[in-house]
Order: sequence, then structure tokens, then C-alpha cells
Amino acid sequence: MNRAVRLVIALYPRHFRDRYGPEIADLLSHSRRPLRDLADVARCALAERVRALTYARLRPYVHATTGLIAAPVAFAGAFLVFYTLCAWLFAAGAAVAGASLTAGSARLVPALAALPVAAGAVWLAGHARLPFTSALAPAGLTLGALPVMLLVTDLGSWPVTAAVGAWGLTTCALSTVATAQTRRGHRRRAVLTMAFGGLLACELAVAAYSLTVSGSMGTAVAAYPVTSLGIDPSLMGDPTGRVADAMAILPALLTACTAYALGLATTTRPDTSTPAPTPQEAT
Amino acid sequence: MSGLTEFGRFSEPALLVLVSLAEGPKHGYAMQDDIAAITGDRPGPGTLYGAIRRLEDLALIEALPERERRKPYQLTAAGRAALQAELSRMRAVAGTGLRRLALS
Repeated sequence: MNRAVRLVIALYPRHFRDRYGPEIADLLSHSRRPLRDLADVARCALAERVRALTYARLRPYVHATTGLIAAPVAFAGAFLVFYTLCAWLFAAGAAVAGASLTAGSARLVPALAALPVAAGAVWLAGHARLPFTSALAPAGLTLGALPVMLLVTDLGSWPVTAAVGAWGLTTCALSTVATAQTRRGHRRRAVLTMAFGGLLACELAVAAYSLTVSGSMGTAVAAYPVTSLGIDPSLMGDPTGRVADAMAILPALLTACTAYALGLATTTRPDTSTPAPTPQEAT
Repeated sequence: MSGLTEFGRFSEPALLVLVSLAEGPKHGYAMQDDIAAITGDRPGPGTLYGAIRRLEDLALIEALPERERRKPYQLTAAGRAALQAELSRMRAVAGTGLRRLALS
């Protein structure tokens, strides 16, 4: 009986449960017709749930989800701005320094441009207030990153979907672990989990993608460090830079999204409670 | 009329809660007993607290400090006025209906 009482009371929205849960449990425990009363409470709890689904209540969730989906678009835009800026600076430096700035140095431009975007993503995440658990954030980021990547690559939708999907699944799992660690007060452990796990997620996604371009496992494994750090692509058996070119903004975008997910899972305190309704909303 | 007409299908339990509290402060269990005595049907805890929540949100009733681990509720001045207005309206409707029935 006690378990059944707890179960039906758990059906109520949290604000209602906190306010009236003990009183309803008291009435149920003294009920003369427990089955009828349990059914009544379950029906009314579901009615309260439906009533809670107003736009005013959903608004924070809609805004947060929209923000998560828009974040990769913003990161891509910021990356292109910094990339252009770095390229201009590089061109200006090359004009002054001449031959000492070679084409090899130009490979560093994407890596340099990705740094401020990733740093900005961590900063942004520290100021975000998600109404739901941060563990769900990578799902929204995946939804936002996928159309961006489909737009800027011409390899077909499946390799991009596989790569971004693999990143999303891995980062969701990592965020779940990191969020749980943060809640238990193990923030340093959460940062390490997200940092190393995030690199692994990016490596996995970029490897999956580059495998479709190069067909070589060795090249695929080396693709993320080579393209994201501006290392000579001939080291991974791609002297023409074909794989690096096909990557487009994928490494930078996934790095920024990982940094954002890392920031969300380790610097924000998820508030999963539903705000109590105002009297105006109640009518 | 303030409040009760906006309750829809919850208007009857809400009205019965107000009628029950018109006698004085009561906790949930006492309200159930009282409403059962008035109508012959004991409201379920979900129905009762759904009505209590709406009436509290509309400031027609208010919770008092807990007594013996139970929280009593009482009518507010607005609740008393709303109940008065609703019962007068019902009396007018009932009177009209009964008069017309007697004529037919």
C-alpha cells in the first residue's frame, strides 16, 4: 500500500507534490476505499500534469532547447570570423616576414581560430541556466551541429550523420557521468571525464568521417589531432591534405560543442524543479 | 462572481470545500467527512486537494499552521464573499427552476 501511495503521489508535478503530497498520503493511508482513492489521486495527478503543460511553463524549456540547437550555428559563425581574422593576420605576417612564414605555418590558422571559440563556449556554458539536466545538452547540440555540417560538406548525408551522431551519443553518455559527478561534489573528476572523454568523442566522430574519405584506418585515427592541431597531414599519409580539406569545420565545431557540453556538465547546477504556478496561471 | 465559475468541472468540489470550511477551519480528513455527510459521497483525496489547490491559488482559502501533523484550512474574507455570492446565485436559479416546475 505504501509503495502504491508513493507511486500515485509521484505522478503529481513536483510543486504540487511538495505542497500537498504528505496530506494526500495521510488521507490515502486512512482511506476506507483505498483502491477508489488511489484511482482518484492518479486521475487528478495526471490532470495536474496536463494543466502544467502551458506555454508559460514550457517557455524555459523551449528557450533552453532553442539555445542548444542554435549554439553550434553560433560556434560555426564565430569560428569562420576568427578563421578569417587569423588568415588576415597570417597574410599580413607573411607580407612582413616573407619566406619565414611558410604554407606549413598556415595550417595553424584553423587551430588558432578554434581556440577562442572553444574558450568562449566554456565561458558561455558557465552562464547558461538549463531548466533540465545538462546530461541532455549534447542531444540539442547534435541537432544543431548536424544541419551545419550537412550544409558545409558535400560528402553526402550518411558520413556526416554517422560522425555527428557518434559524437552526440558519446558526449551524452559522458555528460550523464560528469553531471552525476558534479552533483556529488566531484567537480575535478567531472572536468577530467568530460575533457578526456570529449577528446575521445571528437576522435571517434572525426575518425568515422575521415574513414569515408580516405578508406585508411591509420589516416582516420590520426585525422582529429592532425586537423585540429594544424600538424603536417603527410604524417598521416595524406600529403595533399585531401582529408583535412574534406573535414571542413567538423573538428573545430565538435571541439567547441564538446567544450560547451563540458562547461554545462561541470559549471552549472541543473535545476530540475518545476516552478510553482502563480495564481494568475492557475486560473 | 469571483472565482468559482472559472473552475469548470472542479466547481462542485470547490464549492463543497468552501461550504465545509464555512463552519470553521478543517483539515483534509475532516473536510472529506463533512462533505460525505452533506452529499452522501466522500470525495477522493485527489479531487479534494485539486479543489484546495485552486481555492488556495485564488486566495479564497488559506492554510493554517499544522496541528497534530495535519494542516487545517480556513476561508478567507474573499472566500466567504465568493461563497455567499455563489450560494445566492444558486438559490436564485433553484427558486426560478422550482417555480417553473410547479407551474408546468
